[in-house]
Amino acid sequence: MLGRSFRNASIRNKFRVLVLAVSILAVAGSCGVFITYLWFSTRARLVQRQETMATIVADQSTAAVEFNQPPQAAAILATLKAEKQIVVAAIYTREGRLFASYVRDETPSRVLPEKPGPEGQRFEGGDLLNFHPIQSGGERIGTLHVRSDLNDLKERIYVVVGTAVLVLAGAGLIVFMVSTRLAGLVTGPVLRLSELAQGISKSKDFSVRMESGGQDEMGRLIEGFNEMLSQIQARDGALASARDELEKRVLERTRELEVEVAERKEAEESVLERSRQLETEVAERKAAEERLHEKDLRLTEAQEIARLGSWEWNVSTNKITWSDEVYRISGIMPSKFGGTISDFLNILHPDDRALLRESMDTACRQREPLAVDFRIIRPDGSVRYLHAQGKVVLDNEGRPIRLAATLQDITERRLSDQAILDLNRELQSRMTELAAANKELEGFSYTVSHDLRAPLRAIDGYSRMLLEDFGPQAQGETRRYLDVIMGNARRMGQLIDDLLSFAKMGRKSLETSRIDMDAQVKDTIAELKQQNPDRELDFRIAALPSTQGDPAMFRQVWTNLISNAVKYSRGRQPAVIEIGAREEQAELVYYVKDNGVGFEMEFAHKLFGVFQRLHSPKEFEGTGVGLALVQRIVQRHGGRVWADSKVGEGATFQFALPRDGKSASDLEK
Amino acid sequence: MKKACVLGLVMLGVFQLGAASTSGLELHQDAGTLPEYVVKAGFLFNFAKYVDWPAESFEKTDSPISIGIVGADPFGEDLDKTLRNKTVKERGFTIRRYPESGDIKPCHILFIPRTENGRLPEIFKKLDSWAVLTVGEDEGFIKSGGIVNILIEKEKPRLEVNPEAAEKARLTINSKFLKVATIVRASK
Repeated sequence: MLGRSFRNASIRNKFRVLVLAVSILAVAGSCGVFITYLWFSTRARLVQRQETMATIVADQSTAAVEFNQPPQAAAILATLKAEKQIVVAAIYTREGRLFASYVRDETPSRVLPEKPGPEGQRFEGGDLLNFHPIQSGGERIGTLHVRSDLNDLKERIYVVVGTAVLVLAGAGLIVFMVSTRLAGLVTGPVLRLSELAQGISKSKDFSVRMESGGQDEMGRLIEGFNEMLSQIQARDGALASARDELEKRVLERTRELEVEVAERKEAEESVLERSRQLETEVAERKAAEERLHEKDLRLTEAQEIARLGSWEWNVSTNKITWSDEVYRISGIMPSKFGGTISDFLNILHPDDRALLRESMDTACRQREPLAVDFRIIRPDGSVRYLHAQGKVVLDNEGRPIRLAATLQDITERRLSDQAILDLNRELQSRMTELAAANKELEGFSYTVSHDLRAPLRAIDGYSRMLLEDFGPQAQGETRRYLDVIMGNARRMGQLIDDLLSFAKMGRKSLETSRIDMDAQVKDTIAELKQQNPDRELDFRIAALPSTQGDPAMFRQVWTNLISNAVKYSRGRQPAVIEIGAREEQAELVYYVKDNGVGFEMEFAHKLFGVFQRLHSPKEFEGTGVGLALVQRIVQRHGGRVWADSKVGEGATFQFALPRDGKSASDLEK
Repeated sequence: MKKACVLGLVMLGVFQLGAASTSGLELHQDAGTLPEYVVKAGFLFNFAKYVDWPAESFEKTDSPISIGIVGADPFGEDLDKTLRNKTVKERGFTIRRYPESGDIKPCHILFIPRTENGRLPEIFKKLDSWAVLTVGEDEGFIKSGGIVNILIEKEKPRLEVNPEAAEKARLTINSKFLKVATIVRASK
């Protein structure tokens, strides 16, 4: 505000204000310095004077203190009345007790300290305080306290300040008058110059000049102004000619611009053409993209149907890309998958991570297909078995760039495989147990049969001896009893023999070779005819194919089957026994057919059991081991045996063997 | 003249009047709880500071100041305790006890207890012209020819001094001492 009004003031007034300000500052500064000096020097004198007074009074008061005369001490202190600035004085004893005091009456408010303060002088509360020791004979006997006010000092300073203000006012007045006079000298030429410049700017007459006013800065300013006027005159002329030149050049430039505009138009047209082409291209590309998208959808769909995901490992960037199906298989949200190889490995079961990593690296290194099974742990904690299969894609130089692979959830298959495996294993162990049990049983029956024979022989032997010794006497009942005993002993012997051979059959190993079935049957028939000379037997034998097997065992089979037929056709005149065979697709079937008593089919399942008989020994003798033995032998050769019959119309016994030596030895293994 | 007036007022013990006066004087009473002879022993020591003896009364510059007591000693141990290890202007102190006036030898300060009142004339006669500061403690001591008298009034000590007697004994008494004591002249 003040600054702006000063800036707009006339030079004359500025000059006056500046001179006045400088003068007042100078006078005020010297006054200030003088007053400050006066203050400090007077104060220092006051301090010194007080100390002097204190020293004198302290010395004067020694006797009063030493002889304990407070009134005298007070009288001595009262002499300080002459010193106007001393307001309080007091004497304290050696022990610090107040002994005597003096207080100037105009200042009753001053307070006497109850005890002496620290020794020395200091300013406090605008007063100068002094605590001075009182000494006598080199011994301190008390303390003198003096307090001076600074009123005298202040009064003197006020007088000086008042004088300084008067001097300042007078000096200011004189300076103002003198500067008014002097200002004209400096500002006169400036004012004239400013009037002239105003006139020129109004009249535009640059031919006017100002008369020079001397060699000082003002004179040089006027010279410079005149020089400037001449230059402006000259430049005015040049400006007019330049304007004409400019107009000409503008016209030229306009023509050039017109040509340029035409060229630009042409260029724009070609750009338009190009953009039309681009549009077409873009449309084509869009269509291609749509087709691609369609294919992508199909692929996703196909993967979903097949539950087969696909993924890819970019070898150089180490990034993993998954198809939608992989996300579904792994149960991971696409936003949760980071896409690095370690993100992939992290979802794997910890035990399988190294396996997959190694398989991938190996596939890339050896350029061979990837095929690996591993487990993953889905976010819900469930473990899934996955199968990955892939191939390595190489670049032009044969370096692997990526691994493209499929991923399939094989958990269910894996689990069913496992179940089958478990079942098989169980079955195997059951079979082993069974075989062991069978072996044990056979061993047992063999031992039993063997051991039973000895007592039997004793029974038979002693019965016979009885009969020889008492032959003539043993008549009637006795003779019959002995016969029964001996007959039963024989029967039992027979039973044991059969049992033994049955048990042996289970233990004996097969000694296979080619068997001539025709020859075996002929031998057997000849033997049977010899044993039953009184029977009328009609054997009808067809050609029998030979086969692979244990000849001794099959000899037994034929003997048992044919002797059975002979036995059960007892009473038929003649007994007709047919023996034959037929070749079927996988096996050879042999049969023995008779026209004997036959049996009820509902008991057919009992025929081949050990000691199982359908007839009593009285009707047909036998131990019930024969057919069991047959079944055993046939079964050991991998075959089967069965029988058909009608009561009274005979029976047919058949056994089938696998063709082409697929024999029991294979089965037994 | 004014001073004398003030002192007079004090002597009357009307110090409170002084405090109330326009002079601004204020007096402070000594607690004065010390036993009488402890105070007096201290005074004897202090006298040595304010009194100058003629040079010939000392054998050497550091000869001790001897303090004598006539008759029965009222101080007991107090004087010995007060002066022990004390010096004034490099002089120590010795204490002499003179049971009879006839035993008195030249000394610097002689304390005459009030029990000796009856024998004062013969004591002063014995002292003759020796430079001895005689110190008494009863009314009329100065009048009898003593130099300094210590009186206790209303439990406060008061001093009397006879400068002329001091001058006669060739003793110089410091003016500061004279200021705190009452000047009394011997009656002729």
